[in-house]
Amino acid sequence: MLNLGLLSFGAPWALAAAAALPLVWLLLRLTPPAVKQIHFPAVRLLFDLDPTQRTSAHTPPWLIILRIGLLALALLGLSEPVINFNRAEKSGPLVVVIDTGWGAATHWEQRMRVLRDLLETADRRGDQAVVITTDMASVGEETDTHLSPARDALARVSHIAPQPWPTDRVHAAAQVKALTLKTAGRTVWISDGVDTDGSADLAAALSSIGPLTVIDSGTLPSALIVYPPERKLAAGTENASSNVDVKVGRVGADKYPAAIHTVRAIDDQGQVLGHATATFGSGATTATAHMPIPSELANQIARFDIEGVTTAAATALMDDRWQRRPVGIASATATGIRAPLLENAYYLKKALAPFADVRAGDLDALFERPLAVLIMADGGRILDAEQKRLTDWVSNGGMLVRFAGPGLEGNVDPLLPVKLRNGDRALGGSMSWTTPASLAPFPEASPFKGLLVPDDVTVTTQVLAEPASDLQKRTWALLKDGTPLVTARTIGHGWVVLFHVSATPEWSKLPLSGLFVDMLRRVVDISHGLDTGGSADDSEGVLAPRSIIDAFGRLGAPNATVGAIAAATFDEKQPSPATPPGLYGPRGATRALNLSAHLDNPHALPGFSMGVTHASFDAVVHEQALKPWLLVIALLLLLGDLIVSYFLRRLIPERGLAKVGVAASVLVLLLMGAHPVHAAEGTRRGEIDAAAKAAILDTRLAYIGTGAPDLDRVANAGLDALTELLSARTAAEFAAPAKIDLAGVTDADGLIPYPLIYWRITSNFRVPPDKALAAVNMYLHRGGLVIFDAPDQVGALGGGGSGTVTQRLDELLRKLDIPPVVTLSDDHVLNRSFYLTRGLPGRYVNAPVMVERASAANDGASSVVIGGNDWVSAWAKDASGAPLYAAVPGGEAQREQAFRAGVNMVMYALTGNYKSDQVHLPAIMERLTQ
Amino acid sequence: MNAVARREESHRLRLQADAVAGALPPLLVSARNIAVSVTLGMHGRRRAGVGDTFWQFRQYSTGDTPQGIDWRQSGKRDVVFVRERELMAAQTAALWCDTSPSMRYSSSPKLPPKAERAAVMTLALAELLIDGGERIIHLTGNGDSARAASGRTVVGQIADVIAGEIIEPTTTHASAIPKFSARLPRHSTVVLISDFLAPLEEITASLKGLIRMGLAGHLVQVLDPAEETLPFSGRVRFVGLEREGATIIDRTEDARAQYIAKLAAHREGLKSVAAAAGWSFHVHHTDRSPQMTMAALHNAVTGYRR
Repeated sequence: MLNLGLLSFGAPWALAAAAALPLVWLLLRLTPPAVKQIHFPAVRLLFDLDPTQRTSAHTPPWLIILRIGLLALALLGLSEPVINFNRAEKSGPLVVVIDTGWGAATHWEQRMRVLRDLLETADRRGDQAVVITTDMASVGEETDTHLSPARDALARVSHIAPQPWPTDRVHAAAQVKALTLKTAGRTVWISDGVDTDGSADLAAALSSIGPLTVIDSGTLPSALIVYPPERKLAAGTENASSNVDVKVGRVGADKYPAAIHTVRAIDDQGQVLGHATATFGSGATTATAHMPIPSELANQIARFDIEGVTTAAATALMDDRWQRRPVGIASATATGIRAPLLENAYYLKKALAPFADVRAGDLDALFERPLAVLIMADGGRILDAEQKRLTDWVSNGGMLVRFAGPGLEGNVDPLLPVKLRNGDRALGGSMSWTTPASLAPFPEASPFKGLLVPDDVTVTTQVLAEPASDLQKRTWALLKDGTPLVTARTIGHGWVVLFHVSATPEWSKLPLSGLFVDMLRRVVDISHGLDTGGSADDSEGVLAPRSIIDAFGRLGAPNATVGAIAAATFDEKQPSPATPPGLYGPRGATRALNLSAHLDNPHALPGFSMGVTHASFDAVVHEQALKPWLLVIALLLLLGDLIVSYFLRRLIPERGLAKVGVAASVLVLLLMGAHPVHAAEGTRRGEIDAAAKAAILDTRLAYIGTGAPDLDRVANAGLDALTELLSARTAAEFAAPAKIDLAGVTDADGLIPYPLIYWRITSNFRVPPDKALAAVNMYLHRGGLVIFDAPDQVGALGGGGSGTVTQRLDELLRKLDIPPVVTLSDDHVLNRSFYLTRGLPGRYVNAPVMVERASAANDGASSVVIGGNDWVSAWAKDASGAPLYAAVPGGEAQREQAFRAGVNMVMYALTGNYKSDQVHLPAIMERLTQ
Repeated sequence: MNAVARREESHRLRLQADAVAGALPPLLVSARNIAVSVTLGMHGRRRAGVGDTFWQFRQYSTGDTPQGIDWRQSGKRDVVFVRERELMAAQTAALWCDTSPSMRYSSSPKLPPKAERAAVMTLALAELLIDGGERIIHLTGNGDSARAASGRTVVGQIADVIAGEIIEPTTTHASAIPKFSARLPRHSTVVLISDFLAPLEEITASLKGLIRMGLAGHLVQVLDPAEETLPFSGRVRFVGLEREGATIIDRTEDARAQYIAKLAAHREGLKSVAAAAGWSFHVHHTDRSPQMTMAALHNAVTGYRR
């Protein structure tokens, strides 16, 4: 080892080769560039050129300097220079213990740098080394630690990472004691500064091997801890908000001065919802941050952490007990909603949606998952069977909110806050002298205190409470005349709240006002959430890991070694490799296992006496080896020389230079564009097929293939003629009709593009597969129009005149979900959607035509036309434009009527019941009477 | 001898020549000579002589035949006038196209070889002259010459011969002008198309023989653009195409100025030889369209600036 001030050389003999550099210089100077041969007719003119003007064939000087520099750099690199070589470092086996507990996550980069520097220094001296972590060993995992060359130990360093649980120094001390060293070694302990069991033991074990150096973060900020906060309602504030007090702790307070940290509240998308400062006094171990935050934002908080600190201890995950309060709206008729705006729960859902998870359904469905608040909006009595369950739930911390209604009077059941009088009170009605009552300011004790009472909220009908001594205490809101509007009572840990009006605007304007939203928000806020509100079987459940955090506070998927935790013992579980901190349990009822919740005021590692050196990170000399850098620069110079040589030898012509540039940029773009190309492939896979594209890009009529080619031809010709007529007479310009093969239809996507589908039923008709029938059903429900044409006349195509076609039609219609049908009446919209027609004549006129009975669905427009007039045969024309079939009995006049019927059907499919609007009635009536 | 290849090459050259010639007005349809173009094979020679076309009136002098007196003009004045007619005669043009190895050079695959361009120009000129009723003699590379001929078939024969020479060179000597054994008619015109890169002395010696015959002459130097600019660089070994030898230039970019100067001197020498004999001298580059040079050549051939 050759030492020259800061610079030291590991292999100085390589520098001796530099003596050959002048020789290389000479050789380079003398070697002329290569000759290129060119055939040239005017070569005679090139003979005897003036030799004095010939320039030297020598290599240009700058190129020589480049090449010499290249060689010099390579030689310098091979001599293994090291900057900052620590000459004081003695040699001998090196034992390093590195703490990998939660505390080590702070300044982890520096810890790893120290570890690498130690090992690289040992490697440079040819020493052996071993690295022991204070990791909590997983079950059944036995770490094998023995001395190995420092280079091998260095290779394994990258596997070391901090863990989000405490250290296990007892195990580490045992490992140190198991080491057998031939000579006296040096020992280093890279400590996280947190005292745990076995610290002294470990220090003693290390000291027994050789002189111990304890390296810790020194004067750098210590590990911070964010304790999961409790949630409290901020009373008396103008707008509903929560005040969250976040307690923050730190390790080793006596070493540190006062400090200020910013605590942040973050939602599950990573957005910062709020922040507050926590100020540590000098020497204080804890500080508290007061964070006022609106309730609806507080519900979204997924974690608290400290700005600029990413460790597991400084991250407090919030689970569903903290987050949104699930609100259940119980309704007797959970399904079959007919008129949404008149539904009891509509205003409740609208009001709760901004800040709560709202679920609706019957009680059984609601209690399948934990609930914070249950709202019963029906105003009826609670069945005896349900009373027991609800009472248990409320006394366990649930909040039951009830609304009055016609059926709620008297003491119907015990789950009411107050006794009610029989009958309700109507104000401002035709039989009453009083005007509708408005609200009084909220009482002091009410959770609604501070909410502004608008003047326009009036109550016309309410249920009245029986006067009682404690009625005043139980009242949360009153009217101006002093009658209670909202009353509440505690049962066990929970609440029963009664709104003396209904949840719809029938009794009062309250559900229409913004005050309703605020009141419900306050009600939900004071509910306990889910921590005690879970149903009894929760404690028997097992909470599977959902997502876990690593030592740096990052959420990730749990790996296979993470086990589930029994719900009953969840609170006692310590963070460990088997149960890492994170979220456990099903969605909607997750529990957070926070590292900080189990760190009870950790102590700083005490100083060790007796021959133990304490140092900080920067005490370790960082030796910088220059070899790789020098060799890389030499390699780059070599590449540059290669390119320069090519230019000098004109192997790359000027014109070629552009090509080279283009090729290089294309190559770069290709490399960069590898991902987009993938993406493009991905979209290509989802391409729609040509038939669907044709159906979507142009509107067109469609018919269902019958399997009989001649019939399909007629249907095609008929719809084609109708399409032509439509574009001539109406604004509907369609593309050529399409044929649908029902055997290939698997979902409604293939049918939905068509406004109208013509379905010809024949005597040898086969019922299509179930998937196709389901698709047709879907098409009908989504507002499509299907024309079933089943001509049963003698001589009709595909028929037989024996009633078989009608039988087949019945067979089909039974399988389809067709609403009730009626005979087409003369005033049906189909008869006046474009032309004024009577019936829907086709090739025949006598077959009955059925349409759907008018109903609320689909705006009353019929989704089917069922008939047998063989319309397409009346429309069909051959190539020369001559009709294919005679219309009986009316001849050409009837054919015109058939076309008009076709136009009407298409218009009906396109516009629905537009023509039945009364707006057009006078004009239509006028024309009808003319 | 590959007769098929020769046929094809000949056909190709003629097609090109037709294209070049078609773009120019036929010789005698040019505006200046439109009056004399009527007579096949004969056109005015811009001096008094035997002919059909009026040339000038001049005062009677002794020796003029009385039949020559124009009585109408003489009646108008006191002086007796003689009507002179313009001398009319068919012209013979001898054409030579250099097909030596050095003419087969082209600096880039995009450019035609010099020989091809020279052949095209020769044939186009022949075509135009034949159209104008002139007589053509083709001088071949080994000094032979056909009899003076006219008629469209001649052009095809010339094309065949030149194509044969290009495909299978018959010349044994370098690109100096061959000694033409045939005795060319007096007052005929000779058109020589070559790169004229042989040493100046050789060229001068060859031309002297033709000049002594009292012929009108036109030189067309066909050069590749690379020969004009020497666009090479770096260390290059230049090899001749006619066994002239080779030379190594270390830095061609530095030698370029000298080369261009030498080429200019060579061309000046050619020009002065031509000018001394009253011949015209044209330069054509293969990267340019042949029409420009052809137009200049026509003007010279039909201009009779002797």
